[in-house]
Amino acid sequence: MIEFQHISKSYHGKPIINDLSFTIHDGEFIVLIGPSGCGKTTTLKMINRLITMDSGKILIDNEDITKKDLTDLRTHIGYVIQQIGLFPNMTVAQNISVVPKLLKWGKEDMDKRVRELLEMVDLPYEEYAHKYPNEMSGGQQQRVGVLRALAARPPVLLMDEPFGALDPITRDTLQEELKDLQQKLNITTVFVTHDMEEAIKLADQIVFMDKGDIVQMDSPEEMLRNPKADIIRQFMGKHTKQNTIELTCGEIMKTNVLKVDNKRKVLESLELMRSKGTDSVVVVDKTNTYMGIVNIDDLQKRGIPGQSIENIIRNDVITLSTEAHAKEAMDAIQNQRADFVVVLNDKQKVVGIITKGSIARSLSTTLWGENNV
Amino acid sequence: MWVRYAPRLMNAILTHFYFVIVSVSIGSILAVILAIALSRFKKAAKYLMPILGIFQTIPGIVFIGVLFIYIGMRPETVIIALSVYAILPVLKNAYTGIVTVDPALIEAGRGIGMNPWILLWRVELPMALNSIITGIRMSTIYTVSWAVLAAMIGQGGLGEFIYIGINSNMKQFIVMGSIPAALMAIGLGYLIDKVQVKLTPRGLRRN
Repeated sequence: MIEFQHISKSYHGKPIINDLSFTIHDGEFIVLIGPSGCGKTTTLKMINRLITMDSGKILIDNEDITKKDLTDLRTHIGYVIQQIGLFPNMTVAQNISVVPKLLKWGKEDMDKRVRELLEMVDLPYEEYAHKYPNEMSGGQQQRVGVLRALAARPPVLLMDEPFGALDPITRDTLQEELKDLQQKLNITTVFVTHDMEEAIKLADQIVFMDKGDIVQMDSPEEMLRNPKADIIRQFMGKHTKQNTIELTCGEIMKTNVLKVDNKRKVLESLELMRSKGTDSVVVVDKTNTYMGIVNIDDLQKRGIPGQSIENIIRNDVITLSTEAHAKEAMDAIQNQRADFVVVLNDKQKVVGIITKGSIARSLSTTLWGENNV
Repeated sequence: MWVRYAPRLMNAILTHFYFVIVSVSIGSILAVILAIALSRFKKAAKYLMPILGIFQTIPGIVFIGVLFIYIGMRPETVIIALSVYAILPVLKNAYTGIVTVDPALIEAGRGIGMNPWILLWRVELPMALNSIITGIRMSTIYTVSWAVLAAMIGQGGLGEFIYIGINSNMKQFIVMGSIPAALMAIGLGYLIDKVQVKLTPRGLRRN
């Protein structure tokens, strides 16, 4: 159990943490979240005394951390940082063994532990133990970073935005692995992030901080249901909207449509499509009224050089109005395997198209906001 | 002529080599210790490093001359002078090597419980090793040429041949002194390169 009792901290007279008190129970996964400068990282680093508080007490299992020997304290608290911080001059096995070595484990015990840990994250010992960090991907490196923190079976694990520098897919995998590991090992975990999605996915309890205070401490479900402040709602916003997506085709379409006139010649059109790297193109007449599409296969097989494309225009493409529900476009693309849908206004003029890409883009903006795309 | 002087030349090469090895060893050890100390006090280092740099600008001939007054015509005079000169290149490189270690590594090390000593031995020095060896290489090559000055106070080495050559205006002596010196510099440089490659763990080699 980790207890924060009336912790305060300021830098150069500027308060960072104001009289912070909360309790973390054994085996809990706590996520500290909030806008930058809210004090979440400071809070985390006070637990392993990388930062000293000005006043108040932190107790781990009823023991004041400032009364403990520093090495003893830190070797019993796993620590993972965003920059990974694996020692480049050491192999994976050596990196993982750092803390056991500080604790003077025997060589055999260390080796056994390294094997055991690497197996837990599917990095075969034979292949990875003797690699150096720079010979692995960022995701693999951070897996090893987590293993290094877990090596000496600490009862507490601190993680400071550990997945912040990884690409979204790797981040996702590592989050799942971490949650599994954490539950398997029943290790008390304090995790800092500014990503609400990550917090919701991982946390048993989310501690939302702002300007050095705890705004709300609750389970993810409770926080989603009853956010206690506007700033939390803003952070959550991206998530609570989920149920009320009412997008129209007009909102999700791409407006820069590649169009050709129906009088265009076959070879010209071919050349245009090649240069734009596209397989099909929307055909309109002089007034921008929709006529159909031509695709590159038809052009190559049926197009007669020198003639216009008019007689190979296809009309089997799905068209939707700008007012149509975006779901219709998704259905067309999902279920009818259309490559794209053409969006027309009420006068049958072409205003946009919807592709798989534009659906994905608009979905992610709606769910996670502009910045995360 | 080469045959006639071969034993004496051999002797001079050995003396020269001895001066270089001993001085560079002493100088490097002092330099690394100094660099470690300075890296703990970065503020002081900001003022101390330039002052130490001024030392380097005192011509070797003057320094040996002054030491000669106090210590006399002894090999120690040469060793002390050369060691002092050998310090700076190593010091500069070692200091830079230590203070440019990625702060994330230091934080990770401290955070998982390394004390400052362990951090120094297991992270900072290994990370700075490459740069330290580069400094030693520079020092070695400089020292090979500075050791010529030993002959000025009668302590032998390849300088002897060079001085005789200059004084008697006989080119052969100058060549006999300088070619082995040049080869020694090249040879030692090569050797240190090999050692450097050998000591650099795969994880720190470029690409």
